[in-house]
Parts: sequence; structure tokens; C-alpha cells
Amino acid sequence: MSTNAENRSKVVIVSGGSRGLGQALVTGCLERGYTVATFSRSESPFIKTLTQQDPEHERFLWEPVDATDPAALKAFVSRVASAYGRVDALINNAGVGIDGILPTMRTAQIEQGIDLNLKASIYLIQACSKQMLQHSSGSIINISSVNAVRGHSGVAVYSATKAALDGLTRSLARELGPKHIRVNSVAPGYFESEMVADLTPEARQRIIRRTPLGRLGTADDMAHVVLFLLSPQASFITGQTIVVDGGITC
Amino acid sequence: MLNQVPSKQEIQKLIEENIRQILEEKALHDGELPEIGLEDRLGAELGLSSLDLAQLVATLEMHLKADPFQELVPITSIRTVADLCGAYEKFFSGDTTDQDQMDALLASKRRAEARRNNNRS
Repeated sequence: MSTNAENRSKVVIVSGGSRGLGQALVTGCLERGYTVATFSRSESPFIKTLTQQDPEHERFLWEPVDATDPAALKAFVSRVASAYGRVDALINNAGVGIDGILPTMRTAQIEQGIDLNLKASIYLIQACSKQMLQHSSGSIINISSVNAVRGHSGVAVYSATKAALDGLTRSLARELGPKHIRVNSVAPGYFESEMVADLTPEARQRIIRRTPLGRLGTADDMAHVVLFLLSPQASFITGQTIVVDGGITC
Repeated sequence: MLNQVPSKQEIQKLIEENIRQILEEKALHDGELPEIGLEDRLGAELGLSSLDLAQLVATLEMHLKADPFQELVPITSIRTVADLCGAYEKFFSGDTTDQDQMDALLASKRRAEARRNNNRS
């Protein structure tokens, strides 16, 4: 049975959609007929192309936003809701790697990492959940990491922000569930991206050897799981962290 | 959406309409919904949960372009329909008493600290 609600293009906000996994998420959402609003600090060639293809922002909107500015995040969500009438889903993808041994890490680096990886996600969820509450439905997906579920040296602060996101996911799932708003995490393992570009060939081979499925992941491997969680097929899934890592943590 | 400062009556009407809508969604009341009185308690009498209240505040923010609970009024102080109406009336009246009180408390605290420091030296 087809209804107007099913035919309407779902409005999805993707934070940090200009490159990497964000780019794969934006592409996947557009391919599924969703309307996509995304932001990043700067415009990438990918964003430039999409904006040229849709200059009237009928199904795609990008704005430059500093994710560490709560007022700017709130204003962005308001503009999206004004432009498209509602917000159906949020994918909290924007994040930054925070590498280094904690005892020697600069305070500014710690604060920037927490601001971007955790606080920005919280403020975005706050703004988007207000929109979702108005029509008693929605889906929120936090992009976590295998570092949230396994300890690794040199990424302690990064791990802390991602584990915090998973805690946020579980509590919000309980908090917002009665209004039919689902909240889940996707925890990518090692996949072809800027984050693994700096690995030595030996480190890369070691990861592949330890991965039961025998390869690095791709951004599309991650995006497919996110798109599943957005879909009606996942309508009974909430509060979960889905690890997508080829089995490296199993 | 209201384009100008809403009157007390408009605020009250909007709040009552939206409470009624939430109660209908919750299907707490079969048939005719009860009259919503100003002195009715949102939780105990009308059956609204804290999440229902959040939904109500989100919807009112969209209509009124106002969120008195970010700084002006603590959400925990809202017990009745009248309290809720009062929060929005306060927002539109420009009354910032709570903020003024906080500023006064802060100033008083600083004066006390300064006195303690002076006594030590």
C-alpha cells in the first residue's frame, strides 16, 4: 500500500558530507530518492558538482558550517526545516581523528576533538529531535568506531568520544523511543579512507591479515548499513551499535 | 505561525490546542477529550510525560519562534497549564527577572569572596 508519507522524499541531514564516508552517505541517500542537507567547513569538488546539478536546492542543500559552533548548528537545522518542511533523519558523521599519546597531547587538540566528535553531535541531535518530535517519527544514526568497543594505543581521546556517542545512542533510544524516533550507532572498522591513507604497507597488511573477511572495508560498506538503518526495514531496531569491520573485533 | 507578539489569549489557545493534539496521539482518552483548564497539572491530571512536554515545547517553538526554557525559565518549574502559558508570556514581555536574579546572586557571591580574601590578608 502506498501512502503520501511513503511517496514523500525523506529529508536527511548528514553532517560532514563533503568527502570520505560523508560523501558516500550523501550519494547513497540521493540515490534512494531522499532529500539531503549537509554541511562542512569548506566546499569540496563533490559538493560543488552536486550544487551545480541542483542549483534550486530541490533535493540537495549544502552550507558552510563550523560544527563546533552550537548556534550555527541550530541555525542550520532551522534552515533545513524551513526549506523542506521537516527533518526525518540525522546522520552524525562529522568527526576528526585525534591521534597521540594522552600524556603528551595538547589541551587544544583534546578540546577540539571533543567539541567536534561529541558536542557537535549532541547539539545536532537536540535541534533535530525537536523537529522529529513535531511529527513523532525519525531516525538518528551516530557514526561511531571500532575504537569505541576495543582499546587501541594512541587513540584514547578519540575512543572516549566515540564510546560516548554509543552511550548517547543507547540512552536516547530509550528517551525518544516512545515518540517513534529510533537512535542507532554504526561503528566502522578500518576502511579505505583518509584515516588509513597514512598507514605503512606493513600495517595495512597486518590489519588485512587480522580481518576474517580478508580485506579493508570501503566507504560504501559503511554507507549500506547506515542506509539500511534509515529504511523501513530497520523500523524495529533502536539503541544498537552495529560494528562493520569485516570481523576484526569478533 | 504567528508573525507578531502573541496575546495572552493566543498563547493559551495555542497551548491548549497542542496539548489536545498530543493527548489524541497518545489515545489516553477515548471519545471526547476533557476540557483543559489552566490549573490542570500537566503530568498528574492531563497525563503528559516529560517527553510529551518536550514535544509540546518543540511544537510551540515552531509556532511562536520562542523557547523560554533555554535560559529564562527552568522547565522543571512547569507544573500546570498556567505555568506553561506564563513562561511564554514572560518571554514575550521581555521580563528577564530570573536572569537578573542570577546576576545579582553572582555579584553577591563575588562580593562575599572579596570580603573573605580581604579578611585573610
